[in-house]
Amino acid sequence: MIKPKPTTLFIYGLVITILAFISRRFEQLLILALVNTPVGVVLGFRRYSVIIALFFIGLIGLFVNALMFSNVGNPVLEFYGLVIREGVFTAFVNVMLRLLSILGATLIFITQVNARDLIKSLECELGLPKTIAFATAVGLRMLNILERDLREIQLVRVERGFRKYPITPSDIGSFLRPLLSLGLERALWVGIAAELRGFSQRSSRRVGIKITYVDICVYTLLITQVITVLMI
Amino acid sequence: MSMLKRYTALDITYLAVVAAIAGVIFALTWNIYFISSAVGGPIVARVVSYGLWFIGAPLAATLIRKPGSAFLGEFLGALVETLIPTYGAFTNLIYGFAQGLASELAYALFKYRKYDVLQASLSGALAGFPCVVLDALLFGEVFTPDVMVFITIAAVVSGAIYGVIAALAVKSVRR
Amino acid sequence: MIRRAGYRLDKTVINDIKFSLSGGELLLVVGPSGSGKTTLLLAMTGVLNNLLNGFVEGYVDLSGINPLTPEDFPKVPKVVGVVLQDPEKQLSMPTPIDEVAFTLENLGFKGFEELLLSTLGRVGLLNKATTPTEYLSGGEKKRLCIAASIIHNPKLVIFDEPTANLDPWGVSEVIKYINDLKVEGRAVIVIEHKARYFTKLADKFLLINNGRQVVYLEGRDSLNNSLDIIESLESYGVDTCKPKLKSVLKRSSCREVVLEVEGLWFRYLPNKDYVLRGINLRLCSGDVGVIVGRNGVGKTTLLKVIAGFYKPEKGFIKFLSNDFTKVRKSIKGREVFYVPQEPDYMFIHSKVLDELRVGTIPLEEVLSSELWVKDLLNESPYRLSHGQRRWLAYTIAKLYNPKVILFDEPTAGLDLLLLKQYLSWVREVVSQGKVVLIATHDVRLLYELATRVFIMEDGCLREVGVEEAIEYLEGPLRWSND
Repeated sequence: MIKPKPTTLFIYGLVITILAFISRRFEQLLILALVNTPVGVVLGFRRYSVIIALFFIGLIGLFVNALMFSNVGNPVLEFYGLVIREGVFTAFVNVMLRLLSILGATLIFITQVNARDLIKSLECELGLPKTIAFATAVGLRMLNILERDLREIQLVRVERGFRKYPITPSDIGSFLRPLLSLGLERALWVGIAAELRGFSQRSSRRVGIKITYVDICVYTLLITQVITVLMI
Repeated sequence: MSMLKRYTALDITYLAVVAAIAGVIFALTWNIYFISSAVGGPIVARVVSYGLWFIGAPLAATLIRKPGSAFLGEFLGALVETLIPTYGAFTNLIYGFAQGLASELAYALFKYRKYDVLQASLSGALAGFPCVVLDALLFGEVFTPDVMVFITIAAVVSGAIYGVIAALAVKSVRR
Repeated sequence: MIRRAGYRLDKTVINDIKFSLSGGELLLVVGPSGSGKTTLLLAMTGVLNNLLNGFVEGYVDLSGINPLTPEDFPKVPKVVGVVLQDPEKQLSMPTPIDEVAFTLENLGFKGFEELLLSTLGRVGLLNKATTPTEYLSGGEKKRLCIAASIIHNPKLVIFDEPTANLDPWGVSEVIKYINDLKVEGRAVIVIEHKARYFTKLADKFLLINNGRQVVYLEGRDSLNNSLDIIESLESYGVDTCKPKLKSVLKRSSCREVVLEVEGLWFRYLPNKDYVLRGINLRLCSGDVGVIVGRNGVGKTTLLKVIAGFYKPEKGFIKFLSNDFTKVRKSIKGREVFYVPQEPDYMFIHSKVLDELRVGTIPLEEVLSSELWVKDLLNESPYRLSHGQRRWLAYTIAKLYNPKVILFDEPTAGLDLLLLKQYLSWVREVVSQGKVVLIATHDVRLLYELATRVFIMEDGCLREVGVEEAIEYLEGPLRWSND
């Protein structure tokens, strides 16, 4: 099966997320969640099972918050002296549905798209300015190198008797400094190299959006959801 | 005098590194976020780690010192996270966009002439506002107004603190 | 010809440099660290004044283009290809094929699919064209940089310290590529402090010290005939020929065994291959152990396992007869200290003074014995020069008073003068009874420093004599020395 274009899925995910943010009613959120969560979970179950599990653990915390702050309305349950009112459930369900829709849309996106294709696709189809496209590509490369730096830094920290993970703001500072020092030196030379390879003359490589039938299906699904949600 | 100074390849790579470092810091603190989230829900988690999310803007602006660098620093950081991709993907993008704009405001207020610790802490603080507004949209039903006030204060203070840390780190490293 | 150039208007870095170069010629630029070689590169390509807000006074002509003017500067990429010192500071794209395409895209080429593949094939990376760049080895990344710098058929190719961070095998490869470029008729400039690899290839020769042109030779014969020049070059930190083994350090009898490793087996993940296979090693007090091997063979891993960062699957590690194998690093205390290759990894604080307040030695004593630190106490460690940062890293290691100090590639990028300083530091530390273990591919450490030498291959370690190790490292370069 042909996959949808990265740009299509990007737009899809972004719009769904925005919709989820602005929808306030149970019916709207239910539609979004019902459409996106199953698809997302099915697609992402194998690779992202840990994240899905963590998400559901987070829901427990969410329920606790709802209990603490939204305990209003008619009582629904009594539990060892603790009265749980309907407010808790309406609050919890709404937020849960919202988060589920976003999770679903995100999973759809991250299981189908990889970084490199997305950057290319954004630059060539959407006309993303070369500044942002280049910065993101370099950013991704730097990220890998910096993660390696981070591990080395942590080794020496432990060796010198300091914490491996930052807790206080001053800890963050002590991580930031070496990462910045190393990163900036690299950035300087990558920038010089890019300039010497003609980056400043790079012109827009926009080719225009090419859509396949799969993309059309995705867009149709998207537009349907938008209309339905806004109309309810 | 044109306010929009051209961005050279160097500025862009500096931005990229800031975005990457912001990403690394997030990764470092994700476990703290998740643990506190499971214990006390999104409220506690956010109070503990808020300011770190805004750190891209003051880092980039103190470093590059050109208009738009605060916004780009924050937004690119979010974009890189979207691309890795992490499960925060689109949410981060929206937050990053809004937070970036707010942070940029801090520097615009000073007519883009000063890029010191004060501006950095202000930009971190200002980013707290759109962040909390978005939180209200995301978790609104669960958060009541007084909780929101509390979170706003936490966000602003936390943002300011990390803005200072960011500016000091840049000063300590720039040659 | 450059009359004056520098990064800030009040500070001139380069003075009076003059040379010319034609197609098919190779210019070798040498000089000690900090002499301005890289600044020269930035000045002559127009980067210094156009991009970095520095200044250049003089006249530069690159194939009819004057890179110093803002109008001509954008034309520079068309005629010049640059290979920088560290591939990690040059590669910007996710995959090799994107990297080589980058230059062509910038310059507005179209329809270059075939050219991409043929260039990648030329450097032997065709089968890895779409592998993410982070999975390439150091040598492969270097070759990728070379490919990216020549894909647009430039007339001039400049190499900044091309042998940096490469083991002798990698160096041998790079020399071949550079020679090919020369043969193709391109003008080549090689900036190096390890001149010995290129003296046979150079048509012109330029020695810079403190930003000034000290020696300029044209014509291949004149270079080889100026023996007195070659000797005086050593005083500038430039090695022009293979080091001479003056004497082999006699291994004194073992007074006490400080570090003993036996039967060490280690791998990072259970389903992968073993990186360390049955390693045995023994160092006595006063020893300087040197482990040589190719990049990526596992020397760093071995050091890290000895340092306690990773637990071995089998075997044991003993310090002064105490078995520390199963003990976690944080509890091990100060038996062993690992000094990483990059000094920046070491620093925690924002002031040098705070970094010195460690270990068991009181601050006043430290300040009186480390005089070089006097004016730098309030500086941030990251603002020191490269050399000062290294020195600070060594000092910090010493302050923890470990019995064993492990060094990972300590001499990468150091010229002769800095290398000598390092050697004397090690000798001083060893004379206090400590033991030093160095992992390296730098053959210079074998002369006048190593008391025990080991070769690491295929995860196994064997102790050898100094001559055998020297031969092991010089072997790949045989053809370029003759």
